[in-house]
Amino acid sequence: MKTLKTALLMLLCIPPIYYSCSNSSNTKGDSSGSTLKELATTGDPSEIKDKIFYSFPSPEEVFAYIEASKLEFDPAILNPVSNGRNYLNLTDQSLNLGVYISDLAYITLFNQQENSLAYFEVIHKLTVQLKISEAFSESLYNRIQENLDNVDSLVVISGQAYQSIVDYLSETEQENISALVSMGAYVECLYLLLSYVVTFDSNDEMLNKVLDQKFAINNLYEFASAYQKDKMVSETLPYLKEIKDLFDAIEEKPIAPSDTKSDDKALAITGGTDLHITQEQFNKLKETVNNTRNNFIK
Amino acid sequence: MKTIYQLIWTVIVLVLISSPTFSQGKCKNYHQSNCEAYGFNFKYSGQSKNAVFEKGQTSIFKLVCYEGFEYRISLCADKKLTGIYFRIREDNTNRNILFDSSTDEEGFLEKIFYVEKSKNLLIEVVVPEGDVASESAEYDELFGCVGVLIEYNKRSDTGFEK
Repeated sequence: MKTLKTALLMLLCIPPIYYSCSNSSNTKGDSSGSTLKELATTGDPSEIKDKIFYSFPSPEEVFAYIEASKLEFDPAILNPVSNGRNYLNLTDQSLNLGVYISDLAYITLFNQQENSLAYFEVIHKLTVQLKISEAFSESLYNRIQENLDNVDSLVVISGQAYQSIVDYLSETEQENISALVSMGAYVECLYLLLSYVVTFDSNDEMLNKVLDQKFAINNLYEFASAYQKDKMVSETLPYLKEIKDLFDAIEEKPIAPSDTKSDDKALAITGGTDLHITQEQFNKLKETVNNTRNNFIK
Repeated sequence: MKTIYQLIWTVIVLVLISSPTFSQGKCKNYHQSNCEAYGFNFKYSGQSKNAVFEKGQTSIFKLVCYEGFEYRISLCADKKLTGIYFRIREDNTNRNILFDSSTDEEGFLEKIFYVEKSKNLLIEVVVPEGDVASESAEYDELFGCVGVLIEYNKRSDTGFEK
């Protein structure tokens, strides 16, 4: 009878224990491709102790920043759609889904109707192979076909396709796949941008915008690191780490401490750092990004 | 006796399965459905997020901000998460507060800002504990969805740039 009482006591205790465990989970929890991680606080803001969500710009946001639409379209730098059939395992399919998403974001800027459709199709095929085609709804596909001659709409749809895939992966707790897709998209973006920096000039505006991708790789690396228990992520992470280390080695010169000033329309956050890269560092960065990208798409 | 234990373990399993959880799925597309977009030339940023928040929770959203862009951050949350506010902090060891919506004169859950140099910023979202003690509150009353909508725009496109 005593045992029975013990069992009944256990029964009463389990819900709160279970609740407590689920409540303190720090690896899942958001619904949009983020990582949650305990934040080790330092100094005054000790109240910040819960969770961190990492964000990084989508390929279309990066291309908007670079003003890629002012560049000349070069189809030779894209990963050919014919390669799509070569990706037979989950890692390659996930990485190249990201690669093709970046390619599509690039293509849609240049009113390349035929290419746009071909890249939407290869992305759709990869989502089918990854069993995440729900993320790429039929209505999205129909909108693509209806808007093939409308650059602005295609850019928006391309961005929505990326967001839809990332959101779906998060909602279905496939953050490991999301990390791989994001790594593929980031490396391809960087590769495409560096293709336009042919000669080294430390004052070149394009080069300096490429250097600003340092901020995104920090967030992406921290996000992906949270899933390194996954074999696919752990095998891919060193590629990203190599690029991150090169960005980390670039000299940062503080120009002023951060401060704010307001006008009636916007808050200006002043101060920050200038990034200074040497020719040797640039060459190494470009070579590493090229090698990584070639490893991803082979 | 054996039957009683079988019954107890069955109940335990059922309790475990049916324990209340505020599903992530409830927050699907929350920011897109609930946060009001600014319009004009501002474009949706993939850095926008949805999350389940518990009363008393503070979370950080790490954001990449490019110079030459202006950003609009707007928060939306379930009504039960009363008193929600956000701060923009530096992403360094000091984490200095650059903006606090709870002390802002307008007090809106939105802000347009820009950075003079590209950098990461921290968006700290705070949901206060509220008046009802956690122990006595209904489970569903403690949790809710929060949407963080990020929009971006080239500063020169709005004429905000001086």
